[in-house]
Amino acid sequence: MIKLTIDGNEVEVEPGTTLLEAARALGTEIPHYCYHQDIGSDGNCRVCLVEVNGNTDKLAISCQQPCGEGMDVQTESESVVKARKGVMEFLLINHPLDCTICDQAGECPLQDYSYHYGSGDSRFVEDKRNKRKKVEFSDKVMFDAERCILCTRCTRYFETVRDSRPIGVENMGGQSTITLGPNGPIEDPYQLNIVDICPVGALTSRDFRFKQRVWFMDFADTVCPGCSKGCNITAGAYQGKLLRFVPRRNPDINKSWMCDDGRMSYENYNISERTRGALIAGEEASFEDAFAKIAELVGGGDGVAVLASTSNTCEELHALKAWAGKAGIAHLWHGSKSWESDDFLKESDATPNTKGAQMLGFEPVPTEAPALRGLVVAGEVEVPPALLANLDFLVLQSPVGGELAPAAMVMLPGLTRVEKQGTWVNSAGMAQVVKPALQPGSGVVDDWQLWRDLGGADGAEWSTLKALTRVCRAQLEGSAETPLVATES
Amino acid sequence: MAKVVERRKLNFWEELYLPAIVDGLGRTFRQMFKPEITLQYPEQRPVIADDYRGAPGLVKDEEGREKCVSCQLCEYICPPKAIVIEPGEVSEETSYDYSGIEKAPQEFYIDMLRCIYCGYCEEICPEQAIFMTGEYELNASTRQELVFDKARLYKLGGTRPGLLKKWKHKDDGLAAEEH
Amino acid sequence: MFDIAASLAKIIILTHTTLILAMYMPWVERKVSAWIQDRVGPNRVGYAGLLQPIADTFKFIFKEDVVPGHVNKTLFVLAPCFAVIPSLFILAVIPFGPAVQVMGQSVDLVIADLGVGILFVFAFSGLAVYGIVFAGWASNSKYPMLGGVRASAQMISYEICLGLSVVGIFMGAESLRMLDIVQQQIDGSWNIFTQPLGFLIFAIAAFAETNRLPFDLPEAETELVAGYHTEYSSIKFTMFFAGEYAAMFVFAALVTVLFLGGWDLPFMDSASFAAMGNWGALLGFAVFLVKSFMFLLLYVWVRFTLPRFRFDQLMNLGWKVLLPLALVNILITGFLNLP
Repeated sequence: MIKLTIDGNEVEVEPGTTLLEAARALGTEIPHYCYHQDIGSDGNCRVCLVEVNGNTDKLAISCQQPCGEGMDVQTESESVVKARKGVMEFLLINHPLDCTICDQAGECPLQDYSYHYGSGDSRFVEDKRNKRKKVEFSDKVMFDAERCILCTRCTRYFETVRDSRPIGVENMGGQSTITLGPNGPIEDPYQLNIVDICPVGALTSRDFRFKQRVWFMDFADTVCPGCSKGCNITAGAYQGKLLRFVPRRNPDINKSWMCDDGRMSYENYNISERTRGALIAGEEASFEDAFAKIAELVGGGDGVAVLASTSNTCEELHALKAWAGKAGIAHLWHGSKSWESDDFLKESDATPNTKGAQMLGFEPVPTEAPALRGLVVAGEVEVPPALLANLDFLVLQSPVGGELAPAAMVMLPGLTRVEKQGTWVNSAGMAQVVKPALQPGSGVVDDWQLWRDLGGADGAEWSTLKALTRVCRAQLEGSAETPLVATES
Repeated sequence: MAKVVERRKLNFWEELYLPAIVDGLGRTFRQMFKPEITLQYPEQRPVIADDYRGAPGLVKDEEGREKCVSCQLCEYICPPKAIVIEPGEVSEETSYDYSGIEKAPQEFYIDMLRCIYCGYCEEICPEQAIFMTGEYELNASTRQELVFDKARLYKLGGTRPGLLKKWKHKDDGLAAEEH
Repeated sequence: MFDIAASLAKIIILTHTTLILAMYMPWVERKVSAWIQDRVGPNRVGYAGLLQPIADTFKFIFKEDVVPGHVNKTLFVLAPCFAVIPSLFILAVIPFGPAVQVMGQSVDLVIADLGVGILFVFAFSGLAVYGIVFAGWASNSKYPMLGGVRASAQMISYEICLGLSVVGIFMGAESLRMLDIVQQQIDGSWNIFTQPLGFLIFAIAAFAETNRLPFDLPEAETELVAGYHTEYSSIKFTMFFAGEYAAMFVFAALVTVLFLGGWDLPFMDSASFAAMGNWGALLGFAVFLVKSFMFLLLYVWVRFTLPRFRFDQLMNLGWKVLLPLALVNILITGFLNLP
């Protein structure tokens, strides 16, 4: 272990740790562009300069300088402040300052650092350099050469994380620019991550481009509902409409990345028409009547099965299970969707909570399914056609009815994946907190409340979602193989 | 500590009040023969100062180009949230030689019933695209009619010559670079 | 038969004069106030806005007549009538011109030539307060109530000064009959000159009795919304409005008859009016109207000159100043008239 002081605070770090990381461990933020936690640093932006052992002639770049025993590091000394100001001024001389049309504005480190560390003034009176502004890197990514500060995070992302080189730096000095490689547009299925790590507005998502200013949007720190990997994301919505998912760093699951398919899956949750209120045989009915009808249909529960989507949260499944137990339903099955997996983040199970369902005692639909009288479907799930044959009744609880709707005797409303609140357990057995990014609006009850009211359950544990979560967590912990990880916020 | 104000003792005539009343009557009587200063509104119009803050409007430059790039700063600063902008990419038809401008408002709404004519939008606009016009007669039979859309706002703002042209400047620079 | 016809004719002439004046006084008031305030006043409806009163009347009539649910309905409806009727009754005893000759008979231009004329006036002007008090009470709401309470105190207080201020005139005329009082002024000099103090007190009391500024405390927009008629709308409000202007005209006419010599003109006596025949009567009526109108203008002029009194100032003025002055006036008149 190495001991050193940063701004007078002593800190002890592993050998090989850089000054920037050591400072971060202390909670001291040192500005940086080329350094990124998950792709390392290049040392080209020179904005992370610090003063080491009072050497004001030659400042060190903290992102590359390893910690040394007994170092005395100053991050806010006079020389550092002056040098940083100079670096910021250099970065801005050729930056077009077209924040008015730039999507990065509002979440742009160049803006932030200019405010915090810049001079607010430019002595540059010459004409700014002009470069190409609308360069299509692919059908997903647009590049603006003028805004680029050449930190090379994007090229290094592909090199270190994706082990490919679709883009690189061409030319030298003032003419340097990021350019596409000889193989044409980027085809990597994880390419949109470069938009997130780009510290300026040089790389923009063509999907999100010009859609909305980030400061008008509402953000929810939640979990990607796309697959069972459970990547942490921030969902951005504007006036009840999702506009984007961006990854949120979780070193144990997805680092700073997410797949493009998961990122674009937000579009699936902007549904215009949905089930509101209860329906009995296609007719609008009150929830009381619908519950009575379900009780009548289910009867003693023999020959009835529950098929739950694994996009339900553990709380919802717990409530569903409680009702099923009360109604005497023995078959608790879960169904999920699948998509193509890959070797990085994407998993084949395209639902986020299969593990949670299994931990709570739901089983996959058996290949030799017993003869059924009735089926209760909870959530959006692909129902094997064999199950639907010879059914007396079908109860469907889902945000949108879909193909099953005409066959459903009773239909209940439900939440979409981005409206849910509760706990999902990813394929690695980590339980994560899910927060709603959208509100469902009128006529839709939280799923867990629906099952609670259907089963007539009451008591302290059923009073709030928080109480239910506590109960649920205790159950999960009993069966979990891996430790639970609460979501970093 | 209360401050005691000494009041002058009134003399006999002042206490009677009658001279004061007669004096007042005399004043109002004289006033009757002074000229009127009323403006006969619909026929006569007040002089509108250049910096009058009437309804905000969008302007085009002398070449007929949209100044607004839908940066939405006015929407952000607007205290009563009267402005709603639908941003978007410059379409092929309206695309100008100014290669720098990639963004233009697809729609631009100002709810004139919400607008408080504070002029913040004009002040914050980095593109000199929105100005407070001299228009003060805003009336309609429905609320919806007073939500001005882009076309109406451009009609209201008209053309303003001599404004900042930073994108044009950029364009010239790019042309020089290519040569 | 002839008497009835003559009375009817007189009633029609006088009530219509009053009501038309009551209708046009708001126009006059708005115009004069506009001049005083360097404005133009009504000028859109008709020439110089002359049709404005008619437009206003139509507007008032066609407005929704709101009767709030919380009012005492009977009194609420009766109150506007009480506001108008007493003024019209007083008209009955006011002589408005020299006698006319119709079909060989001489007809005095007064509807009811009562021997107790002036007492009749006070009797009925005392009733006028009921309209306001009823309105304030029946509205069952706080501002009208306050207006009504103020009105009752104010009008009753000033009635005393009003009555005492004219005692000097009876002493001079040695009669309560209106025609005698006018005749005495034609023969001698106008009472405004012989009774200047009486005139002053009467004029001030008349302002208070008609609830005009500076004594419009029952209405007092700035304090009581609209005072006693806050809850009234449409035609009922119009009646309060008309009642106020009718009362103003009645008091103007009273001032004319009691202090300004009625239809008398300087350098003319009864004989010269008689010599002109019925044209003399018409001239007399015109003179009477002009004099009344001058006093009406004074109402308007004062209204836009003086601010409203505070209620305690109003009461001080009435009881501590005007009442003693009126008594002193009687004493002085008595001494001066000693044989």
